[in-house]
Amino acid sequence: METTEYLDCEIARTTEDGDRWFQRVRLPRKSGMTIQEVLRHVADEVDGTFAFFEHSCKRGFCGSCLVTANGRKVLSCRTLVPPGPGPLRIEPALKTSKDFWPAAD
Amino acid sequence: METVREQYDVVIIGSGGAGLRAALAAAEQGARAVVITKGQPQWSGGTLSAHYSFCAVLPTAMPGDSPDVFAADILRSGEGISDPKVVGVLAEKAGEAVAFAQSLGVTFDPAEEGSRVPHLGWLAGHTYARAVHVGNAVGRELMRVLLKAVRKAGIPVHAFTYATDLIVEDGVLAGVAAWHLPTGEPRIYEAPAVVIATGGGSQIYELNTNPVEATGDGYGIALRAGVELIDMEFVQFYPTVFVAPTGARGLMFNSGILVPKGARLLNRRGEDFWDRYGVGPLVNATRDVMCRVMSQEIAAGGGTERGGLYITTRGIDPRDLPQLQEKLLQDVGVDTDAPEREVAPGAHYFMGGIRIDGHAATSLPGLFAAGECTGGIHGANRLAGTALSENQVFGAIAGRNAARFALQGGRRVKADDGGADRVTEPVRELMRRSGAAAGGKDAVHPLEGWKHVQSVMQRLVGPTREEAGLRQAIGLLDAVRGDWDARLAARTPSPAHNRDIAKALDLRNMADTGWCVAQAALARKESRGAHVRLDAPDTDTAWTASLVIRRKERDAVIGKLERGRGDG
Repeated sequence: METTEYLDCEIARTTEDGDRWFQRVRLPRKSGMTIQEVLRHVADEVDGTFAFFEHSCKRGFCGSCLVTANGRKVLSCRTLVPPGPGPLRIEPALKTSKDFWPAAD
Repeated sequence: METVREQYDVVIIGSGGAGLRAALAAAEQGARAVVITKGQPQWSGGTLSAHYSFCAVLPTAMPGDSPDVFAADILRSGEGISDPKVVGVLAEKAGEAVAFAQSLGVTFDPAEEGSRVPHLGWLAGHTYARAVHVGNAVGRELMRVLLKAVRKAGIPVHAFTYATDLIVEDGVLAGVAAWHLPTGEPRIYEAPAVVIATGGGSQIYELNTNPVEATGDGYGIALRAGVELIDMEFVQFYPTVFVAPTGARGLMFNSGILVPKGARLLNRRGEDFWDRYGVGPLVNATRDVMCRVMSQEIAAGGGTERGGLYITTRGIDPRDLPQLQEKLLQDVGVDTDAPEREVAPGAHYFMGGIRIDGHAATSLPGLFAAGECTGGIHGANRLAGTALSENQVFGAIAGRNAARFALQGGRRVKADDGGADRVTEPVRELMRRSGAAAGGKDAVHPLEGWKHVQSVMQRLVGPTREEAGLRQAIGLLDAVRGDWDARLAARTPSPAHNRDIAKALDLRNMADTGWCVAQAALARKESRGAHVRLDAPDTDTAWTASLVIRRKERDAVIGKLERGRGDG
């Protein structure tokens, strides 16, 4: 599949009442971009209301970055975004308090 | 939002190995302790990333080994400026720390199959083999048992609770001010005793091996309270850290294994530059020499666009590369068949930090500290395999002594409203400026500040330094600490789950930490261990001394501590 210059994403968000909706975001594809970077990009460059907290060992073993991408559970720090224009749908796989912010236990 | 007040005997800031160990020790003394952490204990802190070793002199040590020999190894590695008393405590108590970890349920890899005696690994710089290990994940295993014990003891751990400052009333420690990130609630934790266990500050560098939380929070908190720091100019760099691709950035490529097998370093033009620097063969070079030469080659224009060099493994059997990492690299898009990898020196560990004595006490009564955030043990260079020993030994001592201080007459001072307001003011100010309308055109996004500090530190206060660059760095960081700080704004005015606020609080600590490293590096007019001044390349016996630094108003007060002369 040909690699495009951009990637369309559907990012799971939660309303104040805890309902889920999907935010559509088109972002520039960077070489070697991981799924975690998509979330970081949305948090840092696109939308200041997006709740996202990364700890992450960045080494693919701590498990804190687990998400569901196009229906499959993956460690987002060690999973590249798929080729093609998308859409790439990203949802939390762990318990969260809002958007992708982890729930404190 | 209403400020929430809670009272404890001991507040522990940080939930890594040192913080959790301190919590257990404080609770054992009967103190009411709480751990507050800006992240979550199961996923935060540097301890989790400690792969291989936990060094100690065990009852089953090699013949000839003793705490004195261990201490001598640490002192030699520290190049004459470690505090011998603190080092002595570490060497003496590390064996007990290993036994404590075993009592909580860590099973170290055995010397022989079926044996209960741990295998001892041999690390560079150690006279004897003394590293116990659990596969490739000793830190993760230690964290698992510590957290289980903390939960069992019923010690509260407040996650996503960002300690902003100490509250000090008329010179007496009264507690900690914090910001609860998920709700945006200011919190006052009143306590006569506090333990800082916040880990290191390597995130102040563009390229580093640390978790994203390592923003020097303990240094910032201590500096703003007038507490003394020591040896801050000594930052350990790891020579071969991936700069690209983004998913691999910050990973260490093990030069210790690959260089002896024949790996070489190349500049962006593909030239093998090593021999031009006249420092002997690459295969004999220690990490700090590698960092110095690589840093000089990058500064001389040999670096790639991304500020890296290449390490080539041409001629090395691919099966000799670390296999677990190769799988990870493949996942993040590194062409693992390519013999060249793009690497550069990255910040790895802070040798210096909050000055402690052998009782883990700081210069402020009631304030104790443990782990990477402290200084005095490693001096100018850290001996391999001592980070867990340090955080477990001094975590225990700090927790115990903080509890005793609180229970045996530590003055309980109410954080009066004025004091509490003063320390929560930075966040309230930030909130007032937040949102599109409030920030105005001068508003600075906290992440812009992050990038700026990281770039300044990497370029001007990295593995090699010189006076003009250090002066420039101090000026730039002063601006971040002053003018920028007054313009920082979050993009959204909601106090809850606000990532920009967390990043702004980090930035405050990063700027104070970087400023302190640069000040100490400017003051030390020689080269020693991890501190290399290109304009003063020799080690000078007149500088066999530590620099103690504290903040007064906005300025640095720096004193020279010569231990040989009776004031250590």
